[in-house]
Amino acid sequence: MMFVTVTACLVILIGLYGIVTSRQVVKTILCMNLVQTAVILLLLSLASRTGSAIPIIGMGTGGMVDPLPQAMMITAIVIGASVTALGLFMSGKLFHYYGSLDWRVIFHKDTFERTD
Amino acid sequence: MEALMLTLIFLPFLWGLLIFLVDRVGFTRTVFVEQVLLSGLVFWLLRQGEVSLVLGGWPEGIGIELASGGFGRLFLIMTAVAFMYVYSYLWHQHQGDHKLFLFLGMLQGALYALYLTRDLFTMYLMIEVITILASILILYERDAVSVRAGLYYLIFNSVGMLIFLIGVIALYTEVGTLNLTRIHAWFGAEAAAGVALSVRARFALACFMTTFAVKTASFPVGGWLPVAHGYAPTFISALLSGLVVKSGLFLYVNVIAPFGSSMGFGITLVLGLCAALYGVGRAIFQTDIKRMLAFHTVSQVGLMVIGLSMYLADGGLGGMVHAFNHFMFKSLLFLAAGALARMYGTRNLTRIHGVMRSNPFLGVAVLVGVLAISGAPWMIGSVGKTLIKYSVADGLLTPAVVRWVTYALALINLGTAMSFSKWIAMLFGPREKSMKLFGGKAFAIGMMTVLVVVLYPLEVVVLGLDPLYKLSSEVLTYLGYVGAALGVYWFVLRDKPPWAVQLGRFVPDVEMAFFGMLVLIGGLHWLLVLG
Repeated sequence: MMFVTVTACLVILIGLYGIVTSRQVVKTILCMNLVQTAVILLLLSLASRTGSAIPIIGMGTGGMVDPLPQAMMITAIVIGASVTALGLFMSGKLFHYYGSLDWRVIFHKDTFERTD
Repeated sequence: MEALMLTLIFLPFLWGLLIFLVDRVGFTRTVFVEQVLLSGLVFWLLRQGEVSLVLGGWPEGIGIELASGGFGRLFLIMTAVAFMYVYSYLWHQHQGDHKLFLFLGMLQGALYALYLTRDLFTMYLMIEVITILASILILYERDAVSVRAGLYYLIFNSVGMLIFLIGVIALYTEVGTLNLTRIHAWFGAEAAAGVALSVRARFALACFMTTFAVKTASFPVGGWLPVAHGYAPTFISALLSGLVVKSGLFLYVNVIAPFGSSMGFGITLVLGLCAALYGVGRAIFQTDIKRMLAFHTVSQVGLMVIGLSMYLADGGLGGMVHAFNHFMFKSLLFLAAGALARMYGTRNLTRIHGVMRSNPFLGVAVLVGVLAISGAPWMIGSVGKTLIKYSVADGLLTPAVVRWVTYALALINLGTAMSFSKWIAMLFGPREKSMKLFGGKAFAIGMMTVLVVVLYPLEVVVLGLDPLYKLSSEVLTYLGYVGAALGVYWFVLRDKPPWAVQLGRFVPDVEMAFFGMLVLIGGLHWLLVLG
């Protein structure tokens, strides 16, 4: 289990490195998704207990696995999917407006004046 | 009680959904009835005092706990007021846009849930929901600038919340519960027994501090705020700058402060000072009316963070009172800025003149907002700033640190006065054209103006302050700031020197902003976990 925990931590660091160094919007979003997945893996690895019963009353004897991390991670997966979907939608729009997905191009193009 | 608290959370969402499904302007008007109902519920909840209950009848620590008490009550009031002015302001232009009402309803419900929950994971969930909804609302105009601002906001805040989730995991494995009441009790017992924070607890603290820095737009990760708040539709900017940005402060009081780490409080003080000075330094050179206000949000939130870092001295009172007051006057300033931009057809401050003659109502509103934000005596801005100043002086800092922090506070006040001298210049001058405000906008601006004015005597009574205490020196100091600010504006900035224009236009590289985030994550973990 230690191996999974260390792997999750490594993937989090790789994802963070990717977020910092990516010049493409889509790559940044995918790296964000990578960190999200690794965080989920991290919690599941910490919560799993080899030999314990599934957390349903009447199913098995002895100690049960803590059900809370799994419930939390199901929700975190939904949140992660929503953020990724919204981010990718915005990326599509940005490409339509700026003709590029490079952060430098997007942020250094002149902005028109808004009146609201 | 349980049903009423749940109503506060779910009613805005269901009403928004109903408006979206019915799709008739006549029915959309009922949103004002809904807001009155919700305000009544909030008022009723506040009258109950400290209330706490566990949903579904589960034992404490197992079920999700909802509670109303402490500073959370200030946030409930802010949310009720904020949505009242948002719906009034947007009514004329967006009454037929029912999708907008759905998103706003969801946002309001999520905000109430955030301020009522005592469960760490529900808190994470609600902040993520608020982030997603805020991004959608920022890009609502769907033009190039809005989409860019929305994405920038989404990415920065989501990364911040991922770090928060890692912190939640670390704390859960250490304490074994996500219930904040139990977590506070656990930290209290550890501190009473003289046990130092474990490595895992310090790691969780470092994660929470990173999220706090991102959410409150502290230096060097605050680049997203001027982009997002500066280019969102006006009522969304007011909502974000007035209310949503303060969710970070709510996190601080409920999650970070109970750790009781003196190193943590020291880091917060430094982060607050950097943000306050950076924000005001950038705001001085802005000519875009909304971007300038957004930079002032960075600065004022920095000031609140300084106040909260004095948690051991005053329990965060100064910071929270300033947060509440800032919500009032910043909302007013954003709404007024939006109205001005629409009337004059420009957001460039230097092209707007004679507001006092063209629309005296708006002129007075702007004047009240400017006096409040610059901390004029007998205005609400001065209450929080004074409390923060005295908490720094009475705090547990060494005299040398107190001296430097006091100098920094004076510099921040001077910068704020300097920056808003441009707004004063905007008020005067020849009448350009006769301009009218539409009913809803006038109501929203008028309501916030009245609140900013009448809250001062109320706060004096509630907090037990003496309005005449050191009044002459406070007035002289304020006049000194205003005089110096007007002098600098008149002699240095009035002719727009090229260096000032360049400084105003400077946009930090996105890579630099992300790199700043990595430095912050690394620095905080190094200081708190290994230090």
